[in-house]
Amino acid sequence: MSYLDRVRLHFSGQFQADPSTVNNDPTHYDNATFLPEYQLPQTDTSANGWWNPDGSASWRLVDCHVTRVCYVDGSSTNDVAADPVVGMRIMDANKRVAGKLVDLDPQQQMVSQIWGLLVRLTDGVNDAFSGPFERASFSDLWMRSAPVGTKMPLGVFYQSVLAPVLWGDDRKSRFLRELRAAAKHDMLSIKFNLDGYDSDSTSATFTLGRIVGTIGPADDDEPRQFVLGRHLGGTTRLMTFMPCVVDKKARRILADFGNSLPTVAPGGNLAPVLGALTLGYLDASKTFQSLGDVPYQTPNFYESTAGIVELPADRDLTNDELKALASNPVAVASNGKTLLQENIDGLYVRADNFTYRLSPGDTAEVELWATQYGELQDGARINVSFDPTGLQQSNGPAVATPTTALTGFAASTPIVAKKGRATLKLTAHDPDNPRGYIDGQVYGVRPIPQAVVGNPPGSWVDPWDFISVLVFDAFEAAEPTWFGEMQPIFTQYGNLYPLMDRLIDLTDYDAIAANVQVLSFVFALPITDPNSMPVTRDLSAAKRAAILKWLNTPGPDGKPLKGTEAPQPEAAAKRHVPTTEAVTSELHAIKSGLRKES
Amino acid sequence: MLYVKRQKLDTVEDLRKALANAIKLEFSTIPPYLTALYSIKEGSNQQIAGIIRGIVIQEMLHLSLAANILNAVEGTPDFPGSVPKYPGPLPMNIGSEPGKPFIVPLKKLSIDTVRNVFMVIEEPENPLVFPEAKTLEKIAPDYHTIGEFYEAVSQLIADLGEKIFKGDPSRQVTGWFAKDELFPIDSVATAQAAIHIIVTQGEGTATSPAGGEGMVAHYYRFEEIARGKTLNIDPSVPQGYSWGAPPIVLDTTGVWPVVDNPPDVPLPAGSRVALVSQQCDETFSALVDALQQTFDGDPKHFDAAIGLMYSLRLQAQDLVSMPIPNGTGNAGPRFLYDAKTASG
Repeated sequence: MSYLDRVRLHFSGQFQADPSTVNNDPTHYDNATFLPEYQLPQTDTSANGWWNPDGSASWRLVDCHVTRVCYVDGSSTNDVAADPVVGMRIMDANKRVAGKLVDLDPQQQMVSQIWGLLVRLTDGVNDAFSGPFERASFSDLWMRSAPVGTKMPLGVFYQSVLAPVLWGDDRKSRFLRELRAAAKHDMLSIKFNLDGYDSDSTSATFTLGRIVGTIGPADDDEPRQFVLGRHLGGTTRLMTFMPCVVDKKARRILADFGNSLPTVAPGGNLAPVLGALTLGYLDASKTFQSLGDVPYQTPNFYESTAGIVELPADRDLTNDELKALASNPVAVASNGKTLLQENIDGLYVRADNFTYRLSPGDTAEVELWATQYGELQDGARINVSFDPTGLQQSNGPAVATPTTALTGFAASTPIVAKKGRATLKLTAHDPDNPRGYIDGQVYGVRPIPQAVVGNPPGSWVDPWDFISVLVFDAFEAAEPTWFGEMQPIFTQYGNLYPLMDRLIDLTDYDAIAANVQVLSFVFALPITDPNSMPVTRDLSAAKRAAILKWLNTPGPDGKPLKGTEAPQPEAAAKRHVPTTEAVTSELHAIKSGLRKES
Repeated sequence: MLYVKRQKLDTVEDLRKALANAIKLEFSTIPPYLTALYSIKEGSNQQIAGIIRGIVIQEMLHLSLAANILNAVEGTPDFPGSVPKYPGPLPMNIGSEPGKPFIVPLKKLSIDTVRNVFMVIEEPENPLVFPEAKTLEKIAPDYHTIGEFYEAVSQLIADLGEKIFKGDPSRQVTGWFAKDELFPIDSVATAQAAIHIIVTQGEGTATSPAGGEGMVAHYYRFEEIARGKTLNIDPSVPQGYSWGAPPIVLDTTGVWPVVDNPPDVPLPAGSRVALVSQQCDETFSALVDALQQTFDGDPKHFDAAIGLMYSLRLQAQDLVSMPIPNGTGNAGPRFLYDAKTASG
């Protein structure tokens, strides 16, 4: 049970993502070579602080409305007269600040997480339900459109849960009654697709993009960040990975094309390029058997369904079809040609939460799920190995080394799942500052079905399905002082997040000393709080604790200990300063929307 | 000087009404001061920014103290209902002459704004070093000053006595200010201490401009900006204070050309400035709702409200830097409240 359930609502509107981009360049972490112009917007000749150096990190829902509600019997409506939830707004927090968009690391910017977001279904005054969005990273980033205009041609999705959900009045809405009955644990599943992001600072819609999403019930014994179901992939560039669920009771397949259909322009209409698009399965002779057409060219299809279809549209799946689906791959065909299908033998493995920040000594218990043709697979053999290919070394120091700093698996020893479940225990050790000016090290760890190792014919790997881990350096400060341990930390934060300078100059001891109360408050907040500092969530627990100790242990003058200034390091001027060319990396191209390159 | 019509002050219900008016009054000063503060360019006019910011923070304290007193006497603060319209009158038809409402605009920082708006709002009954004003009672016995209004409220509290302090103590809001500034109200003494802080910080006393905590009262701090000089303790003169160094110079190039009264200025539909302006209103609305939650039984929500204040500041700073297309100046915060669109 998830958003990909018969009981669900669809919404559409805009989102706002306002990340600070100074920290997109790994070399900007180097206090010794940081230049003032790295806080300025990019120009035609210089990358500077990229396209949004003054970003606040805020992530907001903007003008989102419910477009359709769907019921347990398979019917649905987009008529407010039929169900009062239609047309209601999906909004974020109205009594605290917006959520925050946060990269894991400058060398792993492809799992940007949303923290501290509250989601409400509301008429603006009273909420029908509300719940905190459990932090999640985006996945399945792909070139969803040709690079037309200034908007990013990329698409991604986020999936997570809202929990615990607070319910308001049911407004005599059949949908709300059915949803609440289905959400037995007061938990909802939410998935949304983002595209058409505008990173052009001269545009009226700068920092805005399109959001289309779905909310349904969640179960507490299912994954939170992906669908327990059938997963389709392939090598086509026309579509990308997508999930389906075979609902045996309803005798339908629920398929989510939301992030998988190309558009004519960034954030534009769905492109007709796929022609006749059908969902079906490959029978024993590998022949495609259609179970129905996908009406993706129907006007308003995307906004009113979020790309989810139930097939067959006008009949039940037969017993023979259900039987065939139990042991044959679900597939999607365009003009009769198969574009996407399940992996060999219907195998699928995924980590639920796939983004971790660990301090030395921490062990993350990563929940792995293994399915075959959508069913939990007892005895599934899962290969787990380092895979740094999804990280972005860019122009920064080497990534994913030393490998001794992250243990708990060996490529030679598969993990065996019990009833489709396994826990991968990743233990962090001190990487001993391998990156110098960037704390800790970032790693990629990929679990895949053992049968897929070596990419046998017919198999595919979703490049985004791996676990990203940031392992912090060990850190100790018995009696932290400004000139000792604190200045480098605060200076780096001030450098990378210029917006803070408008509130408190973090490079200035006196400014910090004058704001001890608010700083000690925000540094003590839980990481889930939208006001938690650092907003980038890239300080280890040990460094945060040292900051708090320093702020809360004043010296005789009533201010945090200043210590004595060390001689300036003479090497600063000799350090390598990155050139514009070096900055214009592939990553830059993706993050800056291919504006100059296209 | 501003005059407020005398209100009936006999019963605890009269007291609650007066405290609700006090909340409106303290609230109404904040948007004009913030507009001037936010109009200052980053890094410019730091002395003046410090003065105005300090005053705004004290107005927020006064707002909190008034709400605590109201909660202590079993009243319910109404922050959404306390949001003023700008340009518009102060609550209670407070006027610069008895019976003539004083219309408060939202304007960028200028000497004119400070002298003719802020100093009028904060003017004590008898500004020190100014000639004595005419005795008020002689010309309009129905009116008194804001300071006198608070003194009358304080007297009513004393008259009604300890028995009115039956409010739920868990509704008292503390934190973020010094413990001797924002404290729980549970007695005549604590309520009167709170009112003393409000009056002293705002107006000073009849004999001294000192507003407590080593700072002069709001009126005199605004006068520092208007005069361009600092008011220093000076034992060599009879008044105990004199105007002198350091100079406080307004750098007019360090102020964004924000239009007067942004709520009255139409913004082109679909423009970026319209979007940012709308978002600023949404954040302001969220702040008002967060304060309502804080002072209506959930004091821990004060933290979230503080977070929204910082967020509002950053958004307003973005806004004032944005020229209005085909307009005559830059946009500014409108402080428009709408519960339906409140969003952090």
